[in-house]
Parts: sequence; C-alpha cells; structure tokens
Amino acid sequence: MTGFMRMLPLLMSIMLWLVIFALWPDQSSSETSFIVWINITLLVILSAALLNYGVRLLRQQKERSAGSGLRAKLVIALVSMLLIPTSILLVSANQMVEKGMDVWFDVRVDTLLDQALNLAQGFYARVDSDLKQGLITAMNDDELRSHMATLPVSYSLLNTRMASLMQHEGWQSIQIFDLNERLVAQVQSEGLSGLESEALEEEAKSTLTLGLVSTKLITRDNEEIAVGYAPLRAHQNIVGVLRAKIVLPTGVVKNARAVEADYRTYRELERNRQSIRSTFTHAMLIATLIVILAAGIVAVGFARRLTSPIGDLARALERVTEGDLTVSIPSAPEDELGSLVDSFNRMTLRLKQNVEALEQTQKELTGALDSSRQRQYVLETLLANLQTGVLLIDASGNIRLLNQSMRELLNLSTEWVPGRSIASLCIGRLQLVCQFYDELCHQEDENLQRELELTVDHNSLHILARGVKLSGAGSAGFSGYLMVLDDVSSLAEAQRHRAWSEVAQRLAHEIKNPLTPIKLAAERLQRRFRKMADDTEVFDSCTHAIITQVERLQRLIVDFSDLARLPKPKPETVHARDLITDMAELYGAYSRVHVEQFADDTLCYCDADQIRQILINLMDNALAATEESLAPVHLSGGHDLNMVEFHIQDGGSGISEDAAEHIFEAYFSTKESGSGLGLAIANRIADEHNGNLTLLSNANPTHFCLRLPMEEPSMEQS
Amino acid sequence: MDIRYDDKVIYCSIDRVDISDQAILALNQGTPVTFVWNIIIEEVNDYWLNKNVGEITIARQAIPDLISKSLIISDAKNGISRRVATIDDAIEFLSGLDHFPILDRSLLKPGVRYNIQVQFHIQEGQFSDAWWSESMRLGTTVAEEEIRLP
Repeated sequence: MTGFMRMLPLLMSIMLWLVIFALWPDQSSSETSFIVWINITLLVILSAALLNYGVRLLRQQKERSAGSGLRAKLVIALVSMLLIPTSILLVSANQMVEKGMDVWFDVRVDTLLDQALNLAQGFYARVDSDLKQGLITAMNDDELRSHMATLPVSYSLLNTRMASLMQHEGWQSIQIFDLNERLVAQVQSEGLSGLESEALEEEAKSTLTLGLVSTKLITRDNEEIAVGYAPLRAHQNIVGVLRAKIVLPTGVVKNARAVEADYRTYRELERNRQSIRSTFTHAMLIATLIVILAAGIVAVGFARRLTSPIGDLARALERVTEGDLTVSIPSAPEDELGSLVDSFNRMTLRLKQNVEALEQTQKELTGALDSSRQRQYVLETLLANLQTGVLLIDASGNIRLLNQSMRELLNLSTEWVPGRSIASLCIGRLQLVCQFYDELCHQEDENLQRELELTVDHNSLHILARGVKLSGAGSAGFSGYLMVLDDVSSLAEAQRHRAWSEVAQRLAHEIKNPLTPIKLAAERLQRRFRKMADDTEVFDSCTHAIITQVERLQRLIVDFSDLARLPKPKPETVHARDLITDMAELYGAYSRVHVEQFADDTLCYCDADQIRQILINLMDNALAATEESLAPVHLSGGHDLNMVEFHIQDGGSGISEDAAEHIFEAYFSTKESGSGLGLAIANRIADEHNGNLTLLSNANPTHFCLRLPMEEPSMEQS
Repeated sequence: MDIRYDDKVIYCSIDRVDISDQAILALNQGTPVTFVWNIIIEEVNDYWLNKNVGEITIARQAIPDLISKSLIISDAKNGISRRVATIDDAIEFLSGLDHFPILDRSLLKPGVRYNIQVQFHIQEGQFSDAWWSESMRLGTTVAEEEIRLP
C-alpha cells in the first residue's frame, strides 16, 4: 500500500476540519439553525474517526501489522465508491433546489400574489367605504332624525325608516342606541332568531363621545362582519348612535383569507429563502455524512471480517517462519478463506509432525555420532597410547590410519601419512613390511602372522607382525587390511638370554669342574716331567698352551656365569666426573686416549661399578680397534635435561653395517678371541639402569653413546 | 430597566427595545411575531452559583391582518387581544414593559442582593409554549439590574 493511500484518511480529516471551520456559525449571527450544529457534530465525529483511522494506519504500517494494508485499501475503496456518487448527488440536489427556488420565487408569482392581496384588500376597503357612506347617509336622514327627536318616539315609523335604510344600503342589521347605550330600535334581516342585544364596543362609545363615524371588522369562526357606528344628532345634539352591520359574503371572505394566507406563506418563504436553501443543503449534508459514516463503519466491519483470516494467516505464517509450529488458526468462515485456513492448519500439523520426526532422527543421529565420537576418541587414544604399531590400509593400497607407535617402532619418515600408497613407501629396510602386506593381500586366509627382523637405527628389532583382511559385513562396508606390529625384541632377547644363561650355567658347570684338574695336571707335568722331556722347548710350549687355554676357558666360563647371573644394580647418586676421572687414571698410560671431562658437576643415578665395567668394555674395544692404527680414542661427557651421556669415539677401522645390526647380541663378536658377551652385558646393564647404549656411528669415528638418568626415576617412569 | 416595588409587588419597566428590521418586515408581510420576555430573579451568592428565586415569561404577539390592514395584538399567555391599525402601535405594545408586576415581595428577603435579568426573544410565526419550543428559544439579555430591598 502506498504512503499516499495511508495518508488519505489524515488528508480527508484535515479537509473536513477546514469544512468545519467554514461551516462554523458567525458570532454576529443572532440565530443559528440547529441543523448546522448537527452537521458540525457529524463532521467532527467523522474527522475524528478519520484521524483515528489514519493514525492507526500509520502505526500499523510502522508495526507491519498483517492484513492492515488490504483492510485499509478495502475501506478506502468502499468509502470512495459511496463518497463520489453521494457527493455528486449532493451537488446536483443543491443545484436543483437552487433552480427550483428561482422558479418558486419568480417575480410573476410575487406580482400575482400582490395583486390578489390588493383585490382582497380592495373588497374589504370597499365594504368599509360603503358602510361608512351609508352611515353618513343614515345619520343625515331627516326622517330618521325627526323620528328620534319626536317624543314619544314612534317606533313603527322609526322601524319602517330603519328598514327602508337597511334595505337601501344592503345592511344585514341596523340598531339605534340612546345616550345611555340602551337599544332603542333594531331592524335586522335575520328575523327573530337574532334578537339578543349586543353590548356596545369601545368604538361606539367613542362615536357617542366624539360624534365620529367609525367602522370595525369583527372576525368570528365562520364569518366576518363589518360593523359601523354613526352619531344621530337632533338640534345639533347627539341623541343616539346608529349601528349598522354587514355580514361579508362567506365565499369572498374565504377566498380573501386564502389569498392572505398564501401571501403570508409566500412572504415567509421568500424571507427564509436563504435559510431554506441552507437548511436543504445542511439536510443533504447530514444525509451524506450519515451515509458516509455508516458506509465507513460497514466498510471497516466488512474489511475487518474479510481481512481478519488473512491477518491471522499472515501472523501464523510469521510464527511458523520463526519456528513455532504449534500455531493453529481457530476458526474461519466457510468460504475460500476458510478453506485456506484449513489447508494452513493441515500444513502446519504436517510440518510439526515432520519436524518432530526430524528432531527425533537428529537426536538419534546425534546420539549415534556422540557414541561414534566417543568410540573414535577411545580408539584414537588407544591407538596413540598403544605400544603396538597399527597400520590400516584400504583396498587400493593407500594408508588410512597410522598410529604413533608404528612411526616410532619403524622410525618412519614424514612421508608416511594417510592417503599415501604403501607400495611407494616400502623401500630399503622396510621392504619386509611390504612383503608381509603383499602376502596378506594375496593369501586366502583372513589372518596372517609373521616374525620380522628389521634393523632400525642400527638396532635389530624383532617384530611380530599380524595382519587381518577387513571385508564383509563386520567391517561396515570397509575393505582393506589391518596390520599390527609388535616389537618383541626384548622378549626374544630375554628368551634368548635365558636360553643362553641356562646353556652357560650348564656349560660352566660341566666345563669348570674338569678345567682345574687339567690345569693342575698340566702344571704338575711341567714341574715334574720337564726335566724328563726330550725336547724341553716343545714340552714347555705344550704345557703352557694347555695352561693358557684352560685359563682362557676359565675366563670364558666366568663370563658365561656373569651373563647368567648378572647381579642386580645398586644405583645411587654419583658424580659423573668421578667416573670420567677413574677412566682417565685407568687409561692414563695410553697417550692416544683423550679424556674430556664434564663441563659441570653432573650427577648420575647409577651403580658406579657396573657403569665402570661398561666404560672399561667400551674403552678396551676402542683401544683394541686402534691397536694397529694407533688412532686416537676420545672419551667425553655431556648431558641433556634428564640424561647423562658418555661418548666413546675411536678412529679405528669401524664396524660393518651387518655387524652393527648384531653388535649388541650375545655371543656376537668380530674378534677371534672375543666371547661376544661384552657389549651384550653392557647393553643389559644400561637397560637395567633405565638408560641405553647406542651405536651412533659405525665408522669414522666409531661412536658409542651411553645414556644414564641423572636422577632416580619415578615409579611411573620406572 | 426600572425596578419599582410597593408593599406587596415588585414591578419592572423596560423601555422600548430595538426591533430588528426582520421582525418589522415579517409583520408587514403578514407573519405573526411574538415577543417573548423572560425575567429571571436570582439571589446573588458571592462564592457559589446564584440561587434562582423566580422566573417569569411574558409572550406578546402581533398577528397582522393583511386584508383589513390592521394588527391583532394579544398576550399569548392569557389570550387578551385587541386590534390596532398600525405596526407602530403594535410594536409599542410588544417591545416594552410598563410597570409590569414580576414578583411577590414576600419572596424576597430584606438586605439581600437580588439580580434581575431580562432576556428578550423575537419569534416569527405561530407561537408555541411547548417545552421543545421553549428550549429552542435563546434569548438575548437586554437588561440586568441588582436590587437590595430595605
């Protein structure tokens, strides 16, 4: 709806106020028609209603009230439909009245009425004139005066004369009163029915007193009578008064009075011509205003009835838009709008049911999602904290999932990320993983288990690999392969160590017992039979060899025993500098041994004797490796936040790659005379101290690093 | 306005008031004209509305007889009438009050102020003393005087 349409009631109200001011009665006007005040009242009511409606329309526009625009249009249209013809009718009627009044008050009518009145007046004037003339004739009649003056009065003669005069003048009665106002004689045409005497009027008394002829018109119910009085003189003295009466013709009187009444009415109308016009205009205006007011009320009611369901619909739609689906329009007329309302109610009901179903589904899905997230969280946490390496590969050979333990276990590069093909990543030392994967892919069984020997960072790992094919209903539509890798190196080493320990103990027990008698026998032979030998040199050489080898076997047996019964470490906090100092003093004789002390006083939580054993083992190995080349051997100390480090480096020939993978295994030695237990024992001691012994570089220089904790590890760490 | 009183009655005299040409024209054209005098007597109160003591309405009518060129003047209340020949005679009768008794003196208290207000209204056409006609008559105050009886 346009702004002009909404402003229309206000504009009309203003216009009506101007009309009110125009119609307001002038203060100078003495009389104000009541009808004007009715009009003003109606106009005030109408303009107030329009003002109220206009303000309401503007407010509804501001509030965006539903259906207000349509309602206003309907009201304005309906009122306008009635206002225009009514206004035209009002103007036309006014014009017609104007024209009609011009015709009614035409000058010819005016003249005609004047002439008619003059005619009537002339008749009455003539009657009056004739009556006066007759009275003058009678009062001057000598016979009549002589009869009055002669005493005693001859009534017969008097009456005869009076009758003669009455007949001559055309009077209906003639009476003679004496000076005492007593009726002396009377003659009348009406006969005996009218003999009752009438009292003299004031005019008659004036006639007696002043001696003048006078007339009077007496109006009665059915007739009008002209009465005249004349003095009767005798000898210059008034002796009586003559009263004559003429009854005016009824028809003439009636016509004359009708003319008078019409004249009076006409003149009244003429005088009130403007008032009549104004009254008519105001009457028409009243009718127009009442019609407009009624039309406005009917239009407002009709528009409200028509637009009420639309407004309800709009409001309900707004609520539905805001998400309130409980809205329902209670009632509606049984027409198209009612049908629309019913459809709307059904629609909201269906929407509500659908939304409830959706909400229920969403709730279930949310629950399932939460459950799934919880499971995923548990699974991720499990995978993250699992010591076992887990690798999930889809059917196309791409990595789908990889946990941290798998990365750490195999020391995987950063290229191992989900989405990459495992075939492109399994190179070098990891080819065994690929082979395991290929075997899993191509075998018919669902499960596969293999033990793999992998070298990671120069450490040989014993991996227990298990694989499962994921397919079918149990995998929820996912097909692929799950590989689980466990580092069982420790377990394998422990098992191997235990086996070797048992063997060593058995061997030591079995070998140790005969060695001592052999050695004693060889020494006895050397003491007692040396002189008896033909070739002393050979004898000495053989017995010495027996003794030497027995001693070597005894040492070997001691080593075996040590490996089998390595004592539990008794750690305590020691100064790491002291350990380096001990080594410096021990190997001070070797000029190629270079010792670099700790930069600060670093503490170390360890069993000092066992650590010295490791360091001596490592220093001996380094010196042995450089025995020929006389390359320098470096012993240095360092630390990080938690761990103390002992670095032993030598410039010897180094350790081959293959040997480096097995260097910490028991009974593996690159030396002909080595038992292969030194580094194994050292590694085990380091492990039991919660530290580690690693080969950082296998050549140029050959670099071993012993890492030990600075402080006593907590229970959790341990 | 002249207020006089004797032992028993209060009288009011009002000089001839100005008559509008409209009324004289109406008489000339045969329309009856009624001069309505309304005399209101109130006890004056300084701090409240005046108390009405009495109210008298006098209606004097002139009925022109165009045929006989005379006028019948009468008191509309009591019906006493007489015929006069000219409009001036009629207006003299209609437009003034001469020593007209308006109130019994016993109704007034000595020493109390009373306000006497005279309203005048001319009505053209037939006179009616019905209540609706009286209610439509809006008189003009032509005289007002305050009296205090000794």
